[in-house]
Amino acid sequence: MNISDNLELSVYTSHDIESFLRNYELMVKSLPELAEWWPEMDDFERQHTRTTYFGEAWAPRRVLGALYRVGRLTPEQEAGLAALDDELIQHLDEANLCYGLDLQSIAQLFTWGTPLAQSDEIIYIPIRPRTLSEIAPALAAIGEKVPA
Amino acid sequence: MDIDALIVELIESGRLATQDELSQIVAHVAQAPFASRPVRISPRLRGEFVTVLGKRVAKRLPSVEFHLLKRVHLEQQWPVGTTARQYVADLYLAVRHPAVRIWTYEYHGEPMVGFLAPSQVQNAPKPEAFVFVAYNARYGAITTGFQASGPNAVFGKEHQRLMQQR
Repeated sequence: MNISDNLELSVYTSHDIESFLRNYELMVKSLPELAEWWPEMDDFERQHTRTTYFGEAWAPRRVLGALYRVGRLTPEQEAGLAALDDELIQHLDEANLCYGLDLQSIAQLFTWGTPLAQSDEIIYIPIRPRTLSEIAPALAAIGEKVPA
Repeated sequence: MDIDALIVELIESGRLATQDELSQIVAHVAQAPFASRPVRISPRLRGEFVTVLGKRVAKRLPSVEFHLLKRVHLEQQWPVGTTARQYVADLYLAVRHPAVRIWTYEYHGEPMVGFLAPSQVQNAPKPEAFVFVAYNARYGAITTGFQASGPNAVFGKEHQRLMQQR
């Protein structure tokens, strides 16, 4: 079951947008410490971390992307979202450890909607080559479909 | 019947629960404890608590206290002064609500049941339309409860084997 195919955006208020951004900020800004603590955490605390810091922010992040695409974010909110997306990408290795995010998750940000997509600045995505080998077949398949 | 084993079986088999099984799951979760094991609070979050409370909070708190602080003082989804007992009682009300929607799913490998019901929380500064409650069948405890605008603000691709049971 795919629960999120249809987003009814009219139900989201400006308060919701602020709340979603705040939780997303907490998710991203807490990453360095959570990653440092990760080896000491037991199963329960890891689950708690994924439920609270990540779980309460990631589904709303998708909604934020849709709201951004229809122009519901203020310029300040757009700038904030772009900065958080950029910071998350820079901390992808920690996000993979704590939240299970990967390169596909980063691609999701761009399909959901991110102000970063308007930028020509170079960004760096930290990635372990062994994970690239896992997604290489899919990437290569896409490349083969592109006309020369 | 072991209700936690039933929840695991529903997720693994991908089958719909019978009405009787759903009634048993509701009755089970509506008296289950909220997880109370201590959890660390990130410096970022502790900083936010200092800002809104005007005082420091402990570096670790029982999980239920962590959630209560976040719901009351950051998200303002419950009124100031709400106790852990009142917070959990509101979650039980949501689980027992006649219009509750129920999902079984896996979350990072954990067997879960989620309940989404119209919010009955009174006097919340920033209420939402629904209350969401998540129960972990491996720990036999509620692991989160918050107000949400709807299922799209709760569920995503990371909720595996998601099946709406009611």
